[in-house]
Amino acid sequence: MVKALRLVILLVCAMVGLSGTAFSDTVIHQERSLYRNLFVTEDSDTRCLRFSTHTNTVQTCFALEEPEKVLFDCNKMILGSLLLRPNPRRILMVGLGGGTLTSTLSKLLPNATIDVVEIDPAMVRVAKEYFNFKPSPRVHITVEDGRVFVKRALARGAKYDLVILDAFDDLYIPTHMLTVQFFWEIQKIMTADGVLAANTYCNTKRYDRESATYQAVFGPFFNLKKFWKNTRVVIAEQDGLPSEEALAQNAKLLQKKFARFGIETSWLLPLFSTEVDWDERAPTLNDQFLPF
Amino acid sequence: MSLVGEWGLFQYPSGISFRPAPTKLPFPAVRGPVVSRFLVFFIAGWSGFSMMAVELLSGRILAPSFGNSIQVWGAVITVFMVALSVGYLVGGRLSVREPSLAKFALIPLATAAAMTPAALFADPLMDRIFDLILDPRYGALTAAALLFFLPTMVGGMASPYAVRLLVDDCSASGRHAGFLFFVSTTGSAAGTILTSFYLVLIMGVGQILWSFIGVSAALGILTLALSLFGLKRGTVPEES
Repeated sequence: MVKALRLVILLVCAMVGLSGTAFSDTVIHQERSLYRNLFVTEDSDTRCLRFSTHTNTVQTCFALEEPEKVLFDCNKMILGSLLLRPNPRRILMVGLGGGTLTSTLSKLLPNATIDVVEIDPAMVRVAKEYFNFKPSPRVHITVEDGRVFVKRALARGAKYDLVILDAFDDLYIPTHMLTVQFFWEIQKIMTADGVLAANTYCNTKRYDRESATYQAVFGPFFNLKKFWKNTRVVIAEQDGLPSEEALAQNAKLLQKKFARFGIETSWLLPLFSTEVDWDERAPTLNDQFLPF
Repeated sequence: MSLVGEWGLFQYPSGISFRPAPTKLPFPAVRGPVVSRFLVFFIAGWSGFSMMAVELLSGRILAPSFGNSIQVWGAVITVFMVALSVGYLVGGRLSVREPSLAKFALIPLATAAAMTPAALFADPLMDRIFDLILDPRYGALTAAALLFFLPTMVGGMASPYAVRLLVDDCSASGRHAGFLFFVSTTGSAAGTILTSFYLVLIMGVGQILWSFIGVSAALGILTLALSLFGLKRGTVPEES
């Protein structure tokens, strides 16, 4: 009897714990999309996009007072790909997120055209309504699976100077966009000196295999990491990585432009590591065998 | 009259009517050694297992060409449901005339054969469909239909045919059917969880498909051999 009572109390506590929120911001919008829950939350100075109210993980945020400022390390690191190629003309982004990165890119590169592909129509709606994302003749959004978009781009012979893969969060992994076959397709829609930036995670069980997969297709790559934030951005170039000097030179060139968005090149440059910190014998991920 | 009607697909078996039904069916079911009944259940269970496992895998197979969107899953599930329902119709119809364990053994054999193209030609076929059909929803629907309709339909024939083999007494038909559905649906559940939780972690999609083809073919051959040679004494001769 006592045992049963204890169990009931425990269950009730667990339910209360699960239903409580893990943060103090106000939810200003929420909707259930085909793929996930979307929450837009706001506190006194930032507005954020979350997929859950039970964890503190945010997908993207912007400061209400300074909306141009890039707040997230991962976005800064992705923009670090411009140090390899400061002036890409055609950009493909797989995954819109809140659209903050797209807005930054379109402001940074007023002459570039940006194709964004996003699987979730609700995400596009939320980005437009709450995160100031504005499609334009230069910023074109397609609601489609990323892999299908890339295959179509390949079929029509499209070429991109910069491809940004930003389709994962810590729980949702579109496995078909982590394979050598997909990366080969990406490679074929990149120009000869095209650059790839992939936003991923460092504390995952697939670290070795994922790294081996990037390496197998793109060769040596820059591995930008913030370990304690579980942030990792892989940056690779089709015709080999540039020298440190070349990076530093481009950093100088971009310094002023980046400053407007709160990005310091002195913070970025030391992150460009080519150290191999994974098991190089790890098998690559492919369409046939994806162990997750 | 439509072909389906002439073929009698929708005709009720005579047992279902308000006339007092004969308690003994004119043709006896598989009796005799326990092993033959066990095989009937096993094949029905295996059909359920492999159908759901392949349904899950088909999502992985289609993803590189058509993505992993909710529409692709919709296409996959639709094709499997339609194929199964047609399989039930055909299997039920085929069970009417002189049902036998030997004929039943042809179902897993045919399933194995029908699954082979999916293991061999999925990639070139999907590339072709990708070029021809621009909308990934209909691309996925077409690819799923071409690759998986036939094996799923043939697999679906197992359950109604198995019911016929097990039932010899009308009053027990519901119990037999119920137990058979239990076995085949439990098989489906097992196929779903084993494949998604464990098999994909240790084997490639192609390897899993080939294993299923192997098991289905082996089951078919074993049952055929047993029913033709080993279980002769077990089957009851036709009543005169």
